[in-house]
Amino acid sequence: MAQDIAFLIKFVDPQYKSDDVATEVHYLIEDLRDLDGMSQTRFEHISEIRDVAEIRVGVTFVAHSDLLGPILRRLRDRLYYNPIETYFQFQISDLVLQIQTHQADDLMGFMAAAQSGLLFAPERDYLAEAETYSRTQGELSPTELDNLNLLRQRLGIPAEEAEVLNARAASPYPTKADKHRHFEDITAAEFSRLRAMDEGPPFAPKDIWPVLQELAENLGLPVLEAEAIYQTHQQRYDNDFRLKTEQTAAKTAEDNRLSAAARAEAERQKQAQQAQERLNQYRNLCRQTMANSIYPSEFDQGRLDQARRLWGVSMAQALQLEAEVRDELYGGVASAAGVDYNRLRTLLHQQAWHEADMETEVVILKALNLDMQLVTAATVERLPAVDLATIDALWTRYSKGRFGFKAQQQVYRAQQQIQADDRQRWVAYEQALGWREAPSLFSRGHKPYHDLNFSLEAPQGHLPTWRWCCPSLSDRYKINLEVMAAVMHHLNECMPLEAVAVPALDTALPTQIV
Amino acid sequence: MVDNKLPHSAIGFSIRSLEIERDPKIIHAEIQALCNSVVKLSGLEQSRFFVFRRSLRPKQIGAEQAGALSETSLFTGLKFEIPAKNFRVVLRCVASWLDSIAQATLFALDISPAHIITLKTAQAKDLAQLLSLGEALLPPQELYLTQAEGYVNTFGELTPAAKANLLLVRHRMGLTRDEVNDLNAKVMGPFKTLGEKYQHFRRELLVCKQESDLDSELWQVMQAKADTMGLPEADAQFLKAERLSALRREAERERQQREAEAEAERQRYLEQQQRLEHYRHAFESLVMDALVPLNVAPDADQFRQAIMAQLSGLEFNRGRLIQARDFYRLTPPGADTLEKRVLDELYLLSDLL
Repeated sequence: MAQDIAFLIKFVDPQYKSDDVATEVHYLIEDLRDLDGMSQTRFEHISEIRDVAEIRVGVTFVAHSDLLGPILRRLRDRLYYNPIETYFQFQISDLVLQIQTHQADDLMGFMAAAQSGLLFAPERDYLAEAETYSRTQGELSPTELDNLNLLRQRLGIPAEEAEVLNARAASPYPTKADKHRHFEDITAAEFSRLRAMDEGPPFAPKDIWPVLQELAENLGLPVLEAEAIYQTHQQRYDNDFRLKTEQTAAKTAEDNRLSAAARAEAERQKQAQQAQERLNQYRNLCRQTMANSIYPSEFDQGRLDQARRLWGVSMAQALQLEAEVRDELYGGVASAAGVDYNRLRTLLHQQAWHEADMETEVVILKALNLDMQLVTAATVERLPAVDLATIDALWTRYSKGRFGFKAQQQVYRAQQQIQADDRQRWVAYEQALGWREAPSLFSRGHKPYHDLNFSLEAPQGHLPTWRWCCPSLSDRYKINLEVMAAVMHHLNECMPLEAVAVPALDTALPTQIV
Repeated sequence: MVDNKLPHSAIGFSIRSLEIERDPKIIHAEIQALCNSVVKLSGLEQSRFFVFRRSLRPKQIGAEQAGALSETSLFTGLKFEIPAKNFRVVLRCVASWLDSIAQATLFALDISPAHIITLKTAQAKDLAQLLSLGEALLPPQELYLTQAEGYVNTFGELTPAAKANLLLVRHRMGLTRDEVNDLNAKVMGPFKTLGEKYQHFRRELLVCKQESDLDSELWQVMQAKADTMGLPEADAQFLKAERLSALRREAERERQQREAEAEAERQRYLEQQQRLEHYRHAFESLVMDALVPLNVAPDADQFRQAIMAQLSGLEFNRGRLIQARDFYRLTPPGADTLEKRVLDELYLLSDLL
């Protein structure tokens, strides 16, 4: 459906001379008249007074819209080859386009619009209707599309072309629901982006609403509706952010609390460790000062006393530590009966075997709570195992295993394997210990106590003697067999021997009684 | 607000009433209504608005002033500039306005640099012609690029909403996917995301080892870098502030460390003094424990010798003395000096007593 277009073309380049302008007008008309369908066109000159002379500076004419394309191409080509500043005016109904340029490219946009046919009926009218629906209703709903379809048929526009025009008017999202969904998706994506940014190092905060508002406007979605969607997401984001901040704050507080607790515990441990270190230092000093004697010298006692004061060790702790170190270095003196074995230990340390033997009697009687009373088989059993072990350990330690109850037990075990007869076994036992000699015609072999051997050359198990079992030592060192059996039984009960190989007997000593 | 720096992407829009016979107050109110509708649209915060008055030349007004004009200066039209990307939205807004008034109006679009479109109509439907022709006259790639640059200059990257807007531009301007991909790549430069730009710029800022390094001269260089890599000014400033803050923290930490070292040195000195003081007390205590009545010594030296002889005479005391010296890790000269001082004081006291 062709329609008339009014053209006005005028050369406005001030540098051009009047004659040249007139010549250009002439050539322009000639060029245009050359076009197909333009031979009958009536060209009206536009004249201007320049330097008191009237000259032709342009031309006006009317042509059918079908010719718009060829005319524009011709004008473009002319500008391309002769870029003279020119004023163009194209009037299509009430629409007027003015272009002033010397560049051919400036005509390209109008050429494209002319070629699309959107400036002329029927496409122009169809697009105007579709645009109106899209703008006023916010969508091309089925009802609007039905109306447009009727219009299309009336205007004789092909269905495919109408589709293109619909898409142009309504964007790729023709219905409100499509626009709403799209906007919702994009808003969600925006907030996902913000959440992802929150995960890493910080970014400068920016307001995303203006771009979303722009999108809503471009989509034709009511801004209030779009804002509601945005606010929903913003609220959710703010809530998440607040929750995360609270969690982080709570975690930090918890970490701080744990850290404070850990610091307090570390401090407590440090103090405990320092206290322990001081005790250890004191213990080491005790070891150092008792290395050569059971009781430190006066000088070393001075050192210990000063160290105790400086390290803040209490007197009780110091005494306990000293006792522990002494026990460790010189043997323990534990007693279940409350007996003090220190003197015995000192005597044994001094290798004063005789005095030690007598002290052993003293401590055993103390342990049995007997005061020079006769020890019987019954009372023997009251000797506490702890005390027996202490006495044995001290004797064993200082005789390097030669003396002590265990040595005596071992000797007895050896006799057990040799002598089946009880009586003979005991006699042999005493002989093995060196407590009696072999019986002879004139003697039963019992030795006086002072004839016993109080040295390390004495036989195995010779000491300590069981003088505390003897009713009298003035005549001879003789122990009642029943008491002896009771003692050995009690020793075996309290200090059972391990199942070890029986030590070789001292063959130099008699093992058999005659 | 999205950055729109390029002025040639703007379109001049003027609207004038052609109804000379109508009540001027009504026309004024209609123009005011139009102005109020347009300024609410996004992206027009920077736009300047002018009004046409009867027999007067256009005068610039602020958007907030539009409703506060006196009746003596009645409007007959409105003129404003809009970013090209807002063309369709603004035109739709104007069309809705025209729908509501349905009066003969002259519309003029000034699409720089060469085109002016005018249309006289009272029907909104006719404005579709302005839309078709106006969009055809806009350079599609330049329009797309300008808009994309605006987003990148604001957000540092093409956000989902920016991409959605650009997709509509692409659709409207008939650009192909390859064309827009090229344009997007051109706009983003070598860095594909804002995160990459941040990472790079943060690394660049690490050359500043102290606050004074980040002076105006260097910052100008850094700004040029930010501009080249398409990092928005706001982000560059943010990263500058971040770096400055880190440098301040670091300086503060170093200061605290120096203070801590000085404090540790002071503590060491105090401990040394304390050790001497403690030894002094220990020694005094030792002397007091060991003290036996002395004949008055003729001088301090003899007094000192006598006391030390008392101390050394008893092994116990000698042990205490040696242990105390050992405990406080005192050098023999140090111990001697201190002991001398204590004994001298004691001598003076003994003299007083």
